[in-house]
Amino acid sequence: MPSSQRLILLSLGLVAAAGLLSGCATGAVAASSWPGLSADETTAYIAYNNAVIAVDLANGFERWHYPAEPDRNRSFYATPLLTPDGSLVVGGYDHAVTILDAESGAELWRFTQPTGRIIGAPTLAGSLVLIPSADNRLYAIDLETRQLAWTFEAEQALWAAPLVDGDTVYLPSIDHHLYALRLSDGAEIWRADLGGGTVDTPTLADGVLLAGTFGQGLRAVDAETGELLWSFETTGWIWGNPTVADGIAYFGDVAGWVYSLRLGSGAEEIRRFQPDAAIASSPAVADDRIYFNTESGTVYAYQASTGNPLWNQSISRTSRLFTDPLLAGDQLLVASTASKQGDVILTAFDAESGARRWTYPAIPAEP
Amino acid sequence: MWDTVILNPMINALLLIYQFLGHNFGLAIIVFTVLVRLITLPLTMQQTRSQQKMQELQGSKKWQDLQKKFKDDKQKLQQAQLELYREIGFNPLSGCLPLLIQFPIIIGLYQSITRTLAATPISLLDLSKHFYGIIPNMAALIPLNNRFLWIPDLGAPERLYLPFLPAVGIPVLTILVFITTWLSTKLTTPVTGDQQGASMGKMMSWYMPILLAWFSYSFAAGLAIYFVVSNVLQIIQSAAMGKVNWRNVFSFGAPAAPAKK
Repeated sequence: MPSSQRLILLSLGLVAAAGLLSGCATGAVAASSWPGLSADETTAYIAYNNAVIAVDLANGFERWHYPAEPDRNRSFYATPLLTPDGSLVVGGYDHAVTILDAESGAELWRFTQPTGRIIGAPTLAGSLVLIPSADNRLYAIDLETRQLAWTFEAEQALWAAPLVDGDTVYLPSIDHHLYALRLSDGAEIWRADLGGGTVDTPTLADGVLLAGTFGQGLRAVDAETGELLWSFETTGWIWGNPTVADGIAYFGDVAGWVYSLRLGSGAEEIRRFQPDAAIASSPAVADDRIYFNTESGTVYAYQASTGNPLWNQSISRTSRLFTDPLLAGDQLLVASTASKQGDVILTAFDAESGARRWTYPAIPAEP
Repeated sequence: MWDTVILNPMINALLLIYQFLGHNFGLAIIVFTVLVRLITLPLTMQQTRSQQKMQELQGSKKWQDLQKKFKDDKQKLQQAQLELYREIGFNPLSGCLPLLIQFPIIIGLYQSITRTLAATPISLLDLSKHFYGIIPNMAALIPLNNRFLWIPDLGAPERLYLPFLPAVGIPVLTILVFITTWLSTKLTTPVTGDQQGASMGKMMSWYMPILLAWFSYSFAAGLAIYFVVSNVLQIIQSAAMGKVNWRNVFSFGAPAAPAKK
């Protein structure tokens, strides 16, 4: 083959390679995480891609979005935290924590000390906000003084919101450890080796911390001492930690199984079933109903006591569901990933019947 | 299809090597690159032989005569060249196939590095689906140790910050990729009697280093390590086959003709 043709072929190949590499690196279409969702009595707050959006719970209309103009260098996925004084704390992939006025969406101030992405949600503990960062540190900032109170450094990235119980902070980490820290100064009380990474807030039930792991199933740890009490083997990794109601823990794994365990001195399996796809979120449980999302884009409602199916709804063929379903009054809010601009990212269902009430953005009526 | 044939074997092989090498991902990439080069060795040898045959052909009297005869008619020249290829049983595409096979390997390697290092929730969740069930306790390897030498994160573009120059990140790997690619291209570009081929060779000796350096500057540091190791192995392999033209290093024009013995 003549050199000129070879060069053209090589150039085309390299351009194609560059295109593929760029696509992989920047995620031009796909987001690098899933929406963070929280709600108060009137408004849902969703953090996804380049915006934080406030949506009216009554009709799905947008109240405000932040920032006013999308900024390619800023993206938000951590669940927004509402504080009693009406602030909304949002962590960003730009390594910053932004405090907004929840009513108007106006920026109040920013905390820019972290050097890693904020993937996990901030947690409120009195006047302190605890912010987990992928730079391995937990930052405690005082909302009143806007000053850093203390930091704690784990061995690896922190992707999950810590849990606060009294004077103790329980901090999960991808580094296989669950840490217990003193709330007043961040001093380490104990650390438990779970044998696998954990990326969701542990569940506290009767003095026992339940933490799902990558490859090591569900682990139960004594909240007082950090001693490993028991383990429950699962087929796949656990991403969303259990939701406990009436002494029963409900959770799913990425192999697509949903488990119900009766908690006591150990865990007695009541039932397990496999709907249709991976489960990466924690279920919502209320009024003897359990709601969970699957990656395939379907939300399921089952009767908790019997395991009988009640209803299921599919969001769309392209949506994937990884965010915890959220009960807000009589509505079930389901946040979904978008594959293109304009895709639905939030849907409200009637929690009892499963009827779709509204979506954000609204789906245009068919002519 | 892509996942089954390219990505899954690469991810699992990388993780196995990582486990075997005491949780050093940088070292795992280097060993993995050597293995990939060994597997594709027959193809690269075929490419080298094809280049050599083309070089011999371009230096032959028959080829030179055709150039003179059809110097004003490119189409007829091309036709005559094709007939000559057929006559001597040479397939000009045989040198391109190994080159094209490199692309899926580079893309697969890049994807396997970024997916294995999994810096975001979606990528980590996806990673769990690529594990082979038969390899025990693979999940316990996560998260991988993404540090190597001075590089804090093999999944991100590399920059070196010196204590006395904290504001400027020096792209050391990018520079290394540029130098090794330039050396590799210079040393292994065959000498051609063809004027057009010579100018193309000259262009390539700058084009490839710039392009790969740009890849290294923009993408994961692990990919840059692959480029550096791959270039060094290319030079070693060519030297072992006696195909290295050391005089080219000091020639900044077209590839130099070999020294007469």
